[in-house]
Amino acid sequence: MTAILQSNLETDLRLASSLAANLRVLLADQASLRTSGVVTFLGSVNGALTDTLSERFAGLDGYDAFAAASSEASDESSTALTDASASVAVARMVIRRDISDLAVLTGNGAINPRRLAASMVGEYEQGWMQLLADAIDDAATDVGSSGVDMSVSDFFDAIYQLELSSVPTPLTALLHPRQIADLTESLRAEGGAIQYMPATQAMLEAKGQGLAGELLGVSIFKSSKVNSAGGNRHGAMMGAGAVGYRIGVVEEVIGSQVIRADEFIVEFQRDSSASTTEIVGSSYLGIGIIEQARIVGIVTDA
Amino acid sequence: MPVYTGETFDARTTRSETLPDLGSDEGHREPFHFISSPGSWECIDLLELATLHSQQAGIELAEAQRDLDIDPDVRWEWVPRLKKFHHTPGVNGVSARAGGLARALGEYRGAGWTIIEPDQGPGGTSYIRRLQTRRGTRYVDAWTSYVPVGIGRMAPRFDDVGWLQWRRELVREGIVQAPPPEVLEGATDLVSREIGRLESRSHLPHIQTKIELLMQKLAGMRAGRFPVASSTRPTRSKRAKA
Repeated sequence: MTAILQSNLETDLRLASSLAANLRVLLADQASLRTSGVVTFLGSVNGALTDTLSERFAGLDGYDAFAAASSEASDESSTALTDASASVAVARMVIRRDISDLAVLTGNGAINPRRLAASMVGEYEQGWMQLLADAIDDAATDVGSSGVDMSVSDFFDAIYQLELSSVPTPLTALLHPRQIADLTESLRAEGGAIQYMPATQAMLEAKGQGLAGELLGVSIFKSSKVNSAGGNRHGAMMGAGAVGYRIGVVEEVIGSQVIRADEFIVEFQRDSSASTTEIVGSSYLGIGIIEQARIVGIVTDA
Repeated sequence: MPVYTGETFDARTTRSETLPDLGSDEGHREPFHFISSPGSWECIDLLELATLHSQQAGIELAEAQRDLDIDPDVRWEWVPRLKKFHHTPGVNGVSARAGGLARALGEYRGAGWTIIEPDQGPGGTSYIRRLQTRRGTRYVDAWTSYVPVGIGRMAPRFDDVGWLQWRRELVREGIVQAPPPEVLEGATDLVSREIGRLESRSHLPHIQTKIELLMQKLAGMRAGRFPVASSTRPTRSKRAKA
């Protein structure tokens, strides 16, 4: 009797190894603060006659206060108006994928032009987060010590700094996973009524993926995009209005099939002679610190 | 008649799989300038620096102190924290137009920041290093390198001594000016607060040790020492003039 064995069927009827039908996504940081409300949306440069707009600041509504007059009939001097500005320039952000017809037709539908276009939602968010991380590492004041792990004391220091500048709450911290790990370790040794509240489902729904939790009333977001310099990670704590972003909305695209997403577009361009489809995601985006007094850097060991 | 010969080409260097993969959050796609805010300084422990150097170089502590131009009587010194201003269009006012970077840096300079040019790096070389990686070109600072740690993983290795020494040199050479005392007071105040916060638990031995260390640091911070040019050791600018 000759049994039909898998080993006998190879390689005409069975394969020693094949590819699974399902497609898994590689581990990557997918957190984004774009819709969290932490970063102020400044509008678009469409029709602005420039790619760079300066945010204008004026010391009004209580920046200066009434003061006692020198005397009943004194001729008081004028109070100067304090002003400031910060530029936000938008620049082109792009990602392009090319896929051949043969690559599509031999596949099982897991990777095709539509799937690649859908993937650009996440790719845009991560490009946005990289710009945010690049922006916040230029905070003018910092807490923490070079080469020393982040601790609860650094977290307190950041709150003190923002309180000294009268930054209104709520406050938000954007930290590297290493900083959060060190902060959590430091919390283990804390005494007293300090409670770290990990993100719950409800909090995630309200503030989006990337929220790690809350500590001392400060929302903590985690992103691997937080930059390193000098062997340290440069996270930050900020109030609303510290950082702003501006976009440019692509208009009048003629000649290709376009999907218009929230702040970017995806175009499909057909290269018939090469039997290839190009999928191009484009946006115009600029992020910057617009008021340094509202942000403090948290610089701790990488 | 000129004869054109190509440069030596090794096909292996163009194969991406032979290049290191630093991971998604190491290095940066864009080069950068180091910038210094007048409001961001930190006080470093010179004894710790010299001890680290003596361990790494396998020399006596006194020799390490001489090597690093450290006065044995001075333990704490103020140095500037430095930030990377990435040349990323769209970030902090950098426009993709010609001159966009210079304009953005000019705004920072106007606000009081010190812009440190890349050629003011260690030993007069650039402080920017370019690495070809599997994910494309990455830019890192001169003190960061990478070593393989297991399959497909790279870990950063950082030259703490070189980094701290370079920041001391920036002050010695006057590239970064010492800040007003109020900046130092702000940083000193944070350490005072931390001591105050810890005092309620000072009965715990490890907390007591930490408080003692912070007290030493506080005294060092209040002494307000900055790196000064050695009378015997030429600074980079003096060497250049010679």
